[in-house]
Amino acid sequence: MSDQHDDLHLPDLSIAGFRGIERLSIERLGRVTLLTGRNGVGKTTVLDAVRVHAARGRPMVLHELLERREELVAALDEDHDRFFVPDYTALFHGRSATPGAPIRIGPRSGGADLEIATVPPGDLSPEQRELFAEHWTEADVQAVRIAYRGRQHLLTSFPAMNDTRSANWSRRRYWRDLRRGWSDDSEWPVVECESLGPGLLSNSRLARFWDNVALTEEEDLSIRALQLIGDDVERVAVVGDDERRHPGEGRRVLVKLKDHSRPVPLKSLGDGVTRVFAAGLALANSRDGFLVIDEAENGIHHALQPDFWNMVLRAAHENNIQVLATTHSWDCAAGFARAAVQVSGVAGVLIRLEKDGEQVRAVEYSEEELQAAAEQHIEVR
Amino acid sequence: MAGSNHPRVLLVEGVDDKHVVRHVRDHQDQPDMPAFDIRDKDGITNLISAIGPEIKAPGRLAVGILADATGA
Repeated sequence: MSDQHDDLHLPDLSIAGFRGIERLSIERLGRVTLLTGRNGVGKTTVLDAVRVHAARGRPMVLHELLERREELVAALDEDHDRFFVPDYTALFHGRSATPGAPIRIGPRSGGADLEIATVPPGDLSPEQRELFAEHWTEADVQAVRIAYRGRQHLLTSFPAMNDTRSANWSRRRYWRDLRRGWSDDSEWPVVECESLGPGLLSNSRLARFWDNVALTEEEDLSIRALQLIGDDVERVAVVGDDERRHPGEGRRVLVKLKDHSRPVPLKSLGDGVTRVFAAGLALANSRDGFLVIDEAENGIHHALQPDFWNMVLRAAHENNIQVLATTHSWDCAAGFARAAVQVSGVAGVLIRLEKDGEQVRAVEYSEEELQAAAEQHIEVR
Repeated sequence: MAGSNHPRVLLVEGVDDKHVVRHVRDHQDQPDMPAFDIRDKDGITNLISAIGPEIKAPGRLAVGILADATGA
């Protein structure tokens, strides 16, 4: 097997003005890229940047990122009830959402940059101005422009307000604005990007993943993932309905084990088993897209790390997936290194992010350097 | 488990080199000489392959190399 570097969705990466990263250039991404570095250096921010670029800045993804970090501000809806909307200023480096200091994410060669910028209220469309004109002055309104490949869309944003002027803000209209726009714009095709966070996937998300691959070749990938941990897993099924009338109800994953007459809940087998199964399912759901995995080491025993990464590298190659993951773990990095050497022809790249004054820089390791580091216990994190 | 991550390291080919260098270093009366770690790489092949990752190790300030010109 052999990957062409140019076939990757993002063969390299440039980020400017996004969250904690003022400027970062990564000269080479792999089919699978493992990011290391100290806490707070920006590893997860790189994953977020890839998600935002893949989604071409669609507001639902921005909303999800900001909601996950509780970057929300209170507003009042038409019934004077509080609800929370994203604080888009939190996307900008130093929370400095000033015109002329945009976020730029894209390949280093340029040409496919996604740009997110604040623009003066005067740049709002007549329709957007109409939303505010009766109750707010222009000083209260902030517009965010998202541009990609010469096309642009405007989002309206606003500072935190708890007074009655916010009451004109329609919750229904807000969600409509979030979903509409360029969701069906063929000029802005998204690249699908699944994500696994540091914790366990919810049952509903596991079930959704399973529904997408049940009875397909991709289903086998998730079963094989489980069998990395033990070969006594025979079959998997998702049972239950979507209604949760009582705690514990709802859809859940069951596993049939050898020598057991009754299936057992997946999650009863432990966090590591659930995590590996989720990774297999996420890979099975990511064909032709991205998969980002935050804190990839979680729940996986050090002895299994090479096999885990072997599975990820092979699946990424076979399904045209570009994977980016983060870790703090030596065992994870060493396991990744061994797998990257074993699976020839599939680019496994380790990159450590480190502070260089106020800037962040990327230190890239080739597979040969990784192998030497793993064998000789040379620090790479 | 990664080894210790000293900011200054000297890479040597073998255990004999390490002992000699350590002995010399520890008997120098040069209080201003910065501390450094001596790493026995178990052969020139390993030493050469380690140069890249040793230079790139986090917090690394200096990498020295002691290799025998007539070695294999």
